[in-house]
Amino acid sequence: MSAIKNKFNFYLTAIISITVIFFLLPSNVKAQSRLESPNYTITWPNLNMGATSSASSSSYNLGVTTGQIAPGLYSSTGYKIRAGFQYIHSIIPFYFKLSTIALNFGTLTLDSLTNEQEITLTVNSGAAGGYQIKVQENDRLTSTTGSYIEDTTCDVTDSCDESDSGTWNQTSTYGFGYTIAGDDVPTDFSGGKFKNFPDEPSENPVKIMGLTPAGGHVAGIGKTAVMTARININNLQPAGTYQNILKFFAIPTY
Amino acid sequence: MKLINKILITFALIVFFILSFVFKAQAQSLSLGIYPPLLEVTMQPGKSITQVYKLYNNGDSDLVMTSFLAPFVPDGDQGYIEIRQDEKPQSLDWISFQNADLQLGQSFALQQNSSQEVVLKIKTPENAQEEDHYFTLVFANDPNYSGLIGSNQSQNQIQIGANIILSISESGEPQHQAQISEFKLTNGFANIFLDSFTKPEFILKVKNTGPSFFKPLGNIKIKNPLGGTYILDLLPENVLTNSTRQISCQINEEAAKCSLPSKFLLGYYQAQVSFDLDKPGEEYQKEIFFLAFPWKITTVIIVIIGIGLFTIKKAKKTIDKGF
Repeated sequence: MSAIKNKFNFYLTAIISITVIFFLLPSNVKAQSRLESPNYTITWPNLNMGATSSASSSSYNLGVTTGQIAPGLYSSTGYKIRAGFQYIHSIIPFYFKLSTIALNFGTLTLDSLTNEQEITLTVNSGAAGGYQIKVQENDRLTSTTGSYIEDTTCDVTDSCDESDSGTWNQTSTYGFGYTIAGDDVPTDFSGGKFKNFPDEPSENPVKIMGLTPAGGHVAGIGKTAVMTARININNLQPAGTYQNILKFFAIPTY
Repeated sequence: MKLINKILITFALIVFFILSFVFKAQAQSLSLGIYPPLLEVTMQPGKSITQVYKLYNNGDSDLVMTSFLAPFVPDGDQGYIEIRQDEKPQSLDWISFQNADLQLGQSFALQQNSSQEVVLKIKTPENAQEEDHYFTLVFANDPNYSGLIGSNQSQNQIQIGANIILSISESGEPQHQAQISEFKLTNGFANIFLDSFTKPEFILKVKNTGPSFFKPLGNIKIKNPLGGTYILDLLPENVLTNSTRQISCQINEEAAKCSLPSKFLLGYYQAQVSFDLDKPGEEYQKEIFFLAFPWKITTVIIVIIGIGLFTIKKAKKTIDKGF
């Protein structure tokens, strides 16, 4: 009986130890995702581009065509394709990163401007000629019982909506809104001015970052901005857990 | 005693597990990449093509993805777009995924640090009209996430897109038509008078008045008073139908503002823009002129001289009165 008990304790200890070690170990085995030298950076080493399967018709196969094809070929193939921007000699993807998967505000303090969460937005236009980041919310912050935290309209003296910015310095100003600072951010956010998020489907997404060659954009350079989202409520706000979805649209120029 | 130990260990493990999950959830980032960011296709009615897209998840969380295709229209004159998700033109039916296990609009898993190849197929019907169609292929992560249940929060979703410019043409050389809607010096007084120490910057806006997209290929030639010429090559940017686009320049094979790098200019200058559509040429032309003079420093010198003369005159009067 004692032997069985010892064996049981041994297995229990082993299982607990393995479980603890499993959680203490780094959770991800990272694949090499970046190659660089002083002259270049390739963030995605496995490109797999230019294969014969890139473009095809019933009679022909064609790789990515980056320039003008030979005269006469069109009538034979029936198509011309250009993948990427003619003036950018790069196959680095256009990518966009958000520093967190959710803005967790936790428990909210009443009549306070400290219920804030930050999120860092990083863009690398890669092979794109320019880019824009737009934002929209699926709805106001909504509780499970159907109550809302309204979108802020900022201070009475300098109001705001989803397209016009305003100041939010008063603790008596309530709602949900955001400001953003960093690279390629629209100038109307300067001085820490706030806007509220446009609601789908009636309000279109609004631009929060973006630059084109006409504005001085250079392909392949990383851009970063920090968005600060803020909630302020008073004691009339029904109790509950409020949630919504923020949609960030990352679109290259054409 | 042993039972208490077991309960404590079990409790500690549960707490550890929950905390690991919550902290991991809070630290998780979202990162998506796509290539190619732009696809330009000119094709005959009744033909089909395929293009491989590669979607990357460079974040540290596994994602459930979905895709959709929507028409877009130009937004302003800088190359930005507005996606019209609520519009469903018939041409959307020409585009599909050719993957064996994935359809357009179908959800799929995309693990962290991995990628997914998508084969996009465009098949135009025999009776397709000779006109342009503009789409954005969008991939979005599923934001339904229960890691932080019970907390006031905004869940984040990335929708990353790549634009498709499709022109239907029987000949492969669709008819192009353009108009120079604006060509001027932007940083001179009255668009003519430039300070000698200011680098001249030009704005060129081209309107597409034809039925298909094009790229203006040409340059801006700036002639100085001594007959020397400086050339700024235009950036081959797409101008879509019924829209106007501000065209940038390229300097040393890099996109740049159309600005002359000179440090000092003096005299009468001519600037001529000339380009053709989708081929080098001078079919479209416009000429402007500007005068470069050190206006600012001259003004400062005149003001200083004026103040000096006034002071001398006043001092002279005082001295005269004194005697």
